[in-house]
Amino acid sequence: MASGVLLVGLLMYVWQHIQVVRIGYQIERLRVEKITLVQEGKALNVALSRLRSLARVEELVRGELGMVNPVPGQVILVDDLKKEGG
Amino acid sequence: MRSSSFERPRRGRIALLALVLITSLGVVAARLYSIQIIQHRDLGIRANGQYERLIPVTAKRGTIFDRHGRVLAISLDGASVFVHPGLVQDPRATASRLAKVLKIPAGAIRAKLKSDRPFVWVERKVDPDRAEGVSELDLPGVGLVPEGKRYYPKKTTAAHLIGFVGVDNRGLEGVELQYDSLLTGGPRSFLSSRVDALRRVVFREAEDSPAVSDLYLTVDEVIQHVAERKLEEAVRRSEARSGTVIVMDPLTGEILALANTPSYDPNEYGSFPLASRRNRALTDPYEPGSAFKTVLAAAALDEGVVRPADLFYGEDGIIEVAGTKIRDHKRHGWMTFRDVVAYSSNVGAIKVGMKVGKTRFYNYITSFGFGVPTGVDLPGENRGVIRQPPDWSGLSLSALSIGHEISTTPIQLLTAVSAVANGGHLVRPHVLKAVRHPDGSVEEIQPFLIREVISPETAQTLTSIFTEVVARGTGREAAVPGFPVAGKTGTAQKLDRQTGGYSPTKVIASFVGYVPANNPRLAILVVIDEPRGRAWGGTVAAPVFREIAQEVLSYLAIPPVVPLEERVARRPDEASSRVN
Repeated sequence: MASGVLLVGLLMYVWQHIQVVRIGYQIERLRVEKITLVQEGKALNVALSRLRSLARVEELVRGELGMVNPVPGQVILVDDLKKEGG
Repeated sequence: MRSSSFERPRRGRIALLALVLITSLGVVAARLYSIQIIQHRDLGIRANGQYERLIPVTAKRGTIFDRHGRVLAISLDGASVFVHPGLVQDPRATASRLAKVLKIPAGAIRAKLKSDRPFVWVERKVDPDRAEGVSELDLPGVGLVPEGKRYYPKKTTAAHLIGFVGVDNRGLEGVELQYDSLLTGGPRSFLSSRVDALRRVVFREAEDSPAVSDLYLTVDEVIQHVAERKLEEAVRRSEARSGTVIVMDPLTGEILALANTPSYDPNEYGSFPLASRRNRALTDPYEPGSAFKTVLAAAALDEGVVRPADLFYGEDGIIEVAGTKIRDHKRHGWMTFRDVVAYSSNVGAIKVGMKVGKTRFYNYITSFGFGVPTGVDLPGENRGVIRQPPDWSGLSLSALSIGHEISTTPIQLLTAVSAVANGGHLVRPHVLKAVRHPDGSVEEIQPFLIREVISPETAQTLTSIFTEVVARGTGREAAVPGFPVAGKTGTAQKLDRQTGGYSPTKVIASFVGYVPANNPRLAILVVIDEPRGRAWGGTVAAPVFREIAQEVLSYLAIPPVVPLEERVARRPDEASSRVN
C-alpha cells in the first residue's frame, strides 16, 4: 500500500517535471514568435514610412493624378473668414 | 541451538552491511552538502560559463522621429552567422557548404573553424536571403544571431540632419552621432547564448543590456521636403555647385528644416562622395556679403549713431578706402539709411560702418554670435572667422560693413537674423525636441536664450527696414502675397584661390529673412553657391525663399496678415533727418 502511494507520488513528480520542461519550450517558442511578429510589425512600419515618403507621394500626385499647388487666393482659412466677418 | 548459531553470523553481516550503507550515504550526503551548499556559488558560475556565454553584438538603437512622430530612422533585426568550433562535426564540409551560401572563400571559414575560441563570427549582418540559406543548412555548431540594422525609410530626406551609423551600428554623423549614447543607452549590447539539453543554441537578451531612448526632432518632414525640393530645383536651374536652406522658428531656435544640395542616401552612405555627405549649413563658412548688412544696421541703430531717415550720399556708386575702390552695383545719389539697406548700397554701408566704428561694430558682431559656434546640437560645427580689431587693416572696417573679411556659417547668420526677428533675443538653434526615455517618460527640450543682443525697439525698427528690402528693394522676389516679409539679400564674390583676389564671376548668392514680419513664425536662409551667369541674391536665392515660405505658411495654416492684393506700403520716413 505504502509503496503504491510512493510510486504514484514519484510518477506525479516526474509528470510535473516533464510538464515544466514542455511548457518551458512552449514559452521559448512563443517568445521567439513574439520577437518575429514585433520585427514583422517594424518591417511593415518601415515599408509604410517608405511608401508615405513625401518625395514619392508628390511624384505620384503630380505625375499620375496631375495635381498642382494652390495659387494664392485659392486657400481661404476659416479663421481668416471669421476675422473678416467679425 | 542450531538456529541461534545460524542467526548470529547473519545478524552480524546485516549490521556490517547497514554500517557500510550508512557510511556510504553519509559520504554522499557530505559531498552533496559541500557541492550544493558550500561551493554552490562558485560552481554555479563555473557551470554557467560552460553552457552560457555573453556575446557582444551591435548596439540596439532607439527610433528617430520628426516633430509629429513620423519615422526618420529605425532599427530592424538583421542576422549574423557564428560558429561554436567545438560543436562542429565535419569542419571541411561545414566550411564548403557555408562558403557556397555566404559567397565567401571556404578557406577563410575553415580557418575560423580551427579556432580555439568557443565562439567565432563567420559573417556579420548578412542579407535576409543568405541568412535563410544558412538556417536551412542546419549545420551542427553553426547558428544565426539577430543584430540590429539601421533603416532610413525616407532615404535622402533630412539626411544631413539625421546622419548615419557605421557597421558597428554606432553613430558617425548628424543626430545619430550627436545623441549616440541616448540612442544606444550605453557602450554595447549583449546576447546571452545557451546550449540547451538538445544541444540547440538559444539566445536571450542579457539582463544588463542597456536600455535605449527614442528621439523626437524639431524638424517637420513636410517643411523639410518642401525645402529640399525647392533648393534642388534652384540649384539645378542656376547650374550652381551646391546650396543650403535652413528653416527655423525664430522664437525658439527650433530647426524646422535643414537641407543641403548635393545630398545622399544614409542607407547607402558609402556610395556617395564625402562632399555630398558634408552638412554645409554647419561646416562651410563663407563671406556673407550684403546679407551681413543686417548686423551693421543693428549695431548702427542700437547704438543710436544712425536714424532710419538719416541721409547718406552714394558718391555716384564708387568710394575709395585705403587705396581700394569699392563700387555699388548701380549709382546712387542721396539716400536715406532705409534706402541704404533696401537697395543694399555698399557706399552707404561703408559710411554707416565708419559712424559705428571698429570696436563697437566688433562688439556687436561677436554679441550676435559670429566667431563662435552657435552650440547647435549637431556635430562638426565651424566657428567661422572674425579677426580682432587690432589685426584689422585700413580696409577692414569697410570690408566688414559689406560682409567681407568675415566668414560665417549659414546657421550662424540665420541665428543672428532670428534675434532681430524675435525682438533681440539670441536663442540657441537646436534639433532635439524631446526624448522618450526607456521608462516611457518624455523629456521636452526647452529653448535656450544665449543673450539679449539689441533692444526690442531696435529690432522693431530693423524689421520695418528689412520689410522695405522686400517691398521695394533688392529682395522683391522674396515677397509672399498676403504676408509682410522682412529680409536681406546677399551677393558675395568668392575668393579665387589662384589669383588670391576676389573672382569676378564666382559668387555666393543668398537671402535671409523672416515671415510674417510683424509676428514671425519662420526664419529662412537660402544660400546658393556659384550660380551660373549674372546671378544675385535677389534673383537666385530670394525666389527660393518665397516658394518655401508660401508652401510652408499654407501648410501651417497661418492666415494672411494683409489683404492679398495689397503689398507692404512704404513707411513714411521720420520727421527729422540728418545729412551724411
